[in-house]
Amino acid sequence: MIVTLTPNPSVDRTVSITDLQRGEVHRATAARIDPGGKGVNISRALNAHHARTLAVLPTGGPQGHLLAELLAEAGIAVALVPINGSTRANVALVEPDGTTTKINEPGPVLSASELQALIAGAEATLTQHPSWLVGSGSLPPGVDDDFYAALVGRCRAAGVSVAIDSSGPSLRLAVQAGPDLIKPNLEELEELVGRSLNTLGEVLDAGVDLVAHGVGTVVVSMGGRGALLVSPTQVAHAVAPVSSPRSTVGAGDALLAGYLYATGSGSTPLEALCTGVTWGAAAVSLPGSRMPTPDDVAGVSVSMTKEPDLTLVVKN
Amino acid sequence: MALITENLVVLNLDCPDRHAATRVLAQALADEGRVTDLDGFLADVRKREEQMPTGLPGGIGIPHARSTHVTEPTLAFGRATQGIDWGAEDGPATLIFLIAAPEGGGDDHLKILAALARRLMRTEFRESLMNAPDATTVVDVVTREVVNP
Repeated sequence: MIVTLTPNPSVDRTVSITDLQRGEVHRATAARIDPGGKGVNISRALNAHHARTLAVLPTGGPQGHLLAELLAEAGIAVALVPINGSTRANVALVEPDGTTTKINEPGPVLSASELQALIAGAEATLTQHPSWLVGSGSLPPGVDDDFYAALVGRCRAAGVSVAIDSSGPSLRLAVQAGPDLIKPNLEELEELVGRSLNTLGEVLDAGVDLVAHGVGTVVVSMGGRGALLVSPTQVAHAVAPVSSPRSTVGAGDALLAGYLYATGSGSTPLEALCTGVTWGAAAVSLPGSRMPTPDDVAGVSVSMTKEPDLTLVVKN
Repeated sequence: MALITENLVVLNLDCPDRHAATRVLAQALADEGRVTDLDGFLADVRKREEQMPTGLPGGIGIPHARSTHVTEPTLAFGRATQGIDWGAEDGPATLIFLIAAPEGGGDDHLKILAALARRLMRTEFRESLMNAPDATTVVDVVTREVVNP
């Protein structure tokens, strides 16, 4: 089983309109609602592959209730931590040419006791010996930056592998706590190491630095340039072409889900990298934040090398 | 009490739309004493359906509600060979589960819903429901796969 923790989940409303004009009334041509949040996406991708997963998340208010129902409808087991505030609702306005305007709420403020309950809710799952616990996504307003670092500490104490996918100060502090895996994208990695990364060689050096400081494995997602894995003993670069990209939303989450799924089912890290890149590429071919199914990933071909071209330019 | 019984299985659910189909299944719940106020319960189901229909890929509809008009967690099943539009992108629903849970039942409602939805992702489970010759077989399949997996 893989446990996901999403500290700031959302109900995502996607509204299709013909033409966005400030100050005007718009008539929606279509609308849909989806459960949102990076950890939630990982659980959705795992569930789509019939893998056991448990999503831990705070929920409050009518949107929280709706979020819990949407996850249940998708067949996802949840551990809900009730909060007084209301779960956020995010809105995406989509025009016919695909232009998307997003409006994200900051999310509810969690009290100190609610935060404790959230960490405790995640910690309670450790007795079930999950193959991974993954903390993913932004923190709600007012939460201390050491939230993920504390999570890493609890998992390590319990001997459960822990992955963190976050950004900014919360990722920096989590890294110092020695997680088994992090999956930054290029931008997040640049912020973490404090320098610009233009070539695969520079990305590799950044990964080596992090591993030297106690991170088990670094998987850097680089969009169309695939992903680079760096661990104390291995380096590999994998890429999968996407013939007709539709939406990059959630592709990084699918990549991480694929990696965790594969290692949790006995694959080597390099095989897992390929699985992750395959899932990520499949997600890019799907609309919105839809997560790939086994059918979706079946058509993706991936290439992997242990001797990557370090001169490859990774920035657009 | 059992989550589903033979009296809560409708093998020929041929209705013009999802609201009519939901009413037929809810009536079965009321006849069994699982729902105390049919219209009140239907209004609770409709609140969720109006946000977005509960159709799933593979010809599934899973209308559901936690409601003060429900006496205990219950499933009603309907098979609509003609298909009923339930809002899923890949086509109409042929297998419909109406899930009723009492207000204040905690997360039970979500647990049943998630367990059922997970099973419904499996082709074999869907086919065994499609091919079930009678209500007893449906009850057996659902009990084996969802209630006591």
